[in-house]
Amino acid sequence: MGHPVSARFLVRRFAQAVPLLFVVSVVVFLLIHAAPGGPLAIYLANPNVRPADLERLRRALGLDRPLWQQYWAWLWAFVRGDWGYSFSDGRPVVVRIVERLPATIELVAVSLACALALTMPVGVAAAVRRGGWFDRAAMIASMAGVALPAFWFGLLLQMIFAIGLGWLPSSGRAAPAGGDLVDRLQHLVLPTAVLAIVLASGWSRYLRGSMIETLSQPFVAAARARGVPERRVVLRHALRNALGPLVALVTVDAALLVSGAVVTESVFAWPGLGSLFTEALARRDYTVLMAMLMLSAAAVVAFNIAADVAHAIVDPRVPAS
Amino acid sequence: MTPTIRTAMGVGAVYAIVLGAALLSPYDPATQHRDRPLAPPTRVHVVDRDGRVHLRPFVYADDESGPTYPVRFFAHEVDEDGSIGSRRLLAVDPPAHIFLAGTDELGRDQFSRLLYGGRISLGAGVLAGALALTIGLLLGCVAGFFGGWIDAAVMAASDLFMALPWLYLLLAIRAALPLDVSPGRALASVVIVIGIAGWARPARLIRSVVLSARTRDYVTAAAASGASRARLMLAHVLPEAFSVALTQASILVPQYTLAEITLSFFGLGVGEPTPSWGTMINAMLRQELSAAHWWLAAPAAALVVVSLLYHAAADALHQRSQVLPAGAWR
Repeated sequence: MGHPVSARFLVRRFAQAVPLLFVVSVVVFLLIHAAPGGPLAIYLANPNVRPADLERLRRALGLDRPLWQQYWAWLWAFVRGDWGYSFSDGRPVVVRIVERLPATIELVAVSLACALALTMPVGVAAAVRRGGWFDRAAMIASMAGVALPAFWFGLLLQMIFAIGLGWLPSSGRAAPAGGDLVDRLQHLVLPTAVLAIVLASGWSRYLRGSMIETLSQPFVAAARARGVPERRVVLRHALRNALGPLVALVTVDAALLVSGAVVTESVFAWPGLGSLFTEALARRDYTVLMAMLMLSAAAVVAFNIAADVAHAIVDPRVPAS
Repeated sequence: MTPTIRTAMGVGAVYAIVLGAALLSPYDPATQHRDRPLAPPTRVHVVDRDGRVHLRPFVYADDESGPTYPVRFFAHEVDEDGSIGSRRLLAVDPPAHIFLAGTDELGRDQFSRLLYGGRISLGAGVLAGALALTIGLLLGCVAGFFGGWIDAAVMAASDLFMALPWLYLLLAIRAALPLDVSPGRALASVVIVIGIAGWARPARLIRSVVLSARTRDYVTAAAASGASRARLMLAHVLPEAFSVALTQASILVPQYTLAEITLSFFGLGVGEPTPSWGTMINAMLRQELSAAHWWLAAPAAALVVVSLLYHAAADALHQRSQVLPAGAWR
């Protein structure tokens, strides 16, 4: 038996991803540049910028050239790692992204871990005692988590724990003066809670469903008939088999690590990639916007491949070769 | 009553309420009652301060010592300056007001804004869902039925659409549009972008249904007895695809309602003074305000009710809820 994930599978998936991302880049570039006013719209309203300056800027930035030439210039620079300079503060786009990355990874990684820690016991317990009080309570709670937008939970938690009780800071990553570990952790609690609730709600419903399905299969009945202890039946026999699809789902959602959790970050003014995107949006910062759009598209594609691989590793019956 | 019918009636009732906004709301959503900013919900009484029971409910104007103002049903709204407005379900004469959910900081009636805002947010969800499903149904049927290079092209396009970072793109496209477009055009652009973004998933599902339907015995029999391709498609394959489209609708419409609310929460939906639940919830961000004025949370509460209804309807439709990756809207 070979390894569940073959090198050919990976090569083929990545080879498919390249033309896909190329087309994505064309679409995104066209959409962004089809906007009325173009990249210099922000200056049009500024009385201090004279028409002559505007024209000079247009030529300096290459905006007077045909669109396809602009695209090739952008693409060629982009693949070589030259992502240009931010329109709003003149610093390299790469620097702006890299300096925001740790905040996003911190928030998303902790949230993924918390969500997973919540999902496993809840999903399994709900499936084992299907229809019981815990199952019903968990399913009602998770329904709210799936059905309501993240910013709704954000506002609710801010209202209760930051404004009402005053236990936790309502926004930001650290106090302006402080910044010690306790302060950082306090700032992390609410945004993490929001992301973890939202993620765990979807995941635990999913895990419950696949556990119920697995528990009804003949091999589980066979294990029980052999006298395998129930605990072992659930955790070793059933859970192992039900885990595959969940692992794939978790991996797909983990793309947030690189693309940023826009909604949660902006509700809590968390200085990550999501807020970078909304700031760039407000200031029409085209270079940052393009880089962020491509980064998140690449993240979606890459984490989808990773999901297939993870699924195949957890469940060797799934073909990935 | 089956759960499906029960939840469908619930959802239908919500639609009926927001569609009837013009009659059911006591005021125009944009009217500013300048002298009454952040007024708490008006108390509607049946027993007056002397203990007498009134058959017709009434309100007090300012304090509960003044004269009573009866609530008139299906009556014309009368403005402060005495001019006659349109017909409303509930109306009281000035100087009294009937603010069932209080007013916001500009003195606008929250209840009226909730109804009109619901029309925008829920309407956007339904329209965008219909658009995505129509495109999905069309392309899915064509791809599944004809196969070959057409199928390959449609599937490649759906790969592309599923790889696009939609929340980011949606925000970017809407931000690129001028902010001062009319509410109608803003709504249309939001609906079109969301609808076009979403066709890929239903198209794939419908394609697979069509593929399996094509090999069913009764379809083969119909083909053998000389049915034309058009007849095969319309009479035999399409009905199977419709049931998939219906369950897809129960997933897509709530998602797209949420998408509109998220966009307008970011200030990128339909602009003021036209209300949307997203802009109303965004007003709660000014917390000093909403902590002291609990009625500002009304749109958030309305969203809970509608979301749970939607979700119950989706659950009833396919029993086992289908989970999409959460990432997209977080």
